[in-house]
Amino acid sequence: MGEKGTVRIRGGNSLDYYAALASKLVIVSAERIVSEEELRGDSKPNAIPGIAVNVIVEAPYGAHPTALFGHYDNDPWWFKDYIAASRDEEKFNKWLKEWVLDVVSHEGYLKKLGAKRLEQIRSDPVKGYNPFIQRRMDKLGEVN
Amino acid sequence: MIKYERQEMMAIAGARLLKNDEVVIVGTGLPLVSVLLAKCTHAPDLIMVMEAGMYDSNPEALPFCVCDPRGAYRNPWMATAFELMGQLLQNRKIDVGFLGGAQIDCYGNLNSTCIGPYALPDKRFEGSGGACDIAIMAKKTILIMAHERKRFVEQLDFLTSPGWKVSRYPDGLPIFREQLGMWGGPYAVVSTMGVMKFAEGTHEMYLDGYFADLGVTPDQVKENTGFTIDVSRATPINPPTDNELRILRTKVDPEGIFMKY
Repeated sequence: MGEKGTVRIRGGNSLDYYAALASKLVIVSAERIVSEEELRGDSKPNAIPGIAVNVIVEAPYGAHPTALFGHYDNDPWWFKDYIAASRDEEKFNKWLKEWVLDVVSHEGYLKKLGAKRLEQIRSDPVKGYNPFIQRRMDKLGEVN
Repeated sequence: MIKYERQEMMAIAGARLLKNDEVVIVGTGLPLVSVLLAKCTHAPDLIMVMEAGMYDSNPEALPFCVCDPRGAYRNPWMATAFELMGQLLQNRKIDVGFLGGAQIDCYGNLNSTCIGPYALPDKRFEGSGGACDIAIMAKKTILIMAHERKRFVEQLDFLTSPGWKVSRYPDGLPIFREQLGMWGGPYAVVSTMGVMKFAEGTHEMYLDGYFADLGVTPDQVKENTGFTIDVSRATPINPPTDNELRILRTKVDPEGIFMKY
């Protein structure tokens, strides 16, 4: 996104533009903040104008565990863990402590995920997703 | 004869109901598999759209939900959800809505919200999403779900998406959908046992075909349906062809995301 709030979204922006206009406070978490100049020239992929945005945050992997077109795919390891943990309260509280409370910050969360894991969900920039990722949770191997 | 699974027969029966010139809005899961199978066999020009805004998707890999990046690869145009659901759908540009559900009644009314009372449900599902809008404004709908007595019911626990005949608010009077200004309506239901359609005039569900090759009989369909269903017109459905199975297994869902091989 641009430093003054222009938001570029690839792979479809669904309801984001309408949600931004309908909200009193709009916070945009972007993969990367660039100069507005970089986003001029091709206005088509720009989804939200700066006047609809109040706060901008640069947070790489900010959409994790879900996918961001052209950057990273859905993280099947995360979903497998979460689904298993959400089946009972004790397991869920343990998961909550490990993955939310104890990581302290977004940086801490990414550090806990680890470079290998982030590398494994990286998307093909042209296709927009990772064509090699194992998506069957019951057949999911270890991160290696 | 190749052995095959029941969910493969369902996906194939669903694909056979689609035509080459149709614009189809599709839900996650089996509907996606059916539509892609149709596109890879008899309906290559079929236009598949998904409610998040994907228009004319020709994915190389099966999307696992309706906003998977796989559905956005090389699309000729992308809509916002508002343009797709509010404008294309409302302007009668969508020929077929292809939906799943948890409960259905004899008029094709669909529940994908909860089992048990709404305020204190035994099971809570994801709810309508775009399903209610699609059920009201697609030119016809195809529904796909498991065939059990607790799912094919006399009375829904919750009405998510209207079929042919609903209760009028607030007096509860039974009323046909066209009296409420809705067009379209359910065209077929694909279940684990066969394909149901809706009688002209009464719009009540009847058994059109059954998966005889999987051992299903019309009597079994009756036993597994919670309301009275006419099975007198039913004919056996042809088992999958080798070509349909090959394309399903090697091209549409080779990973077994929904088919769970």
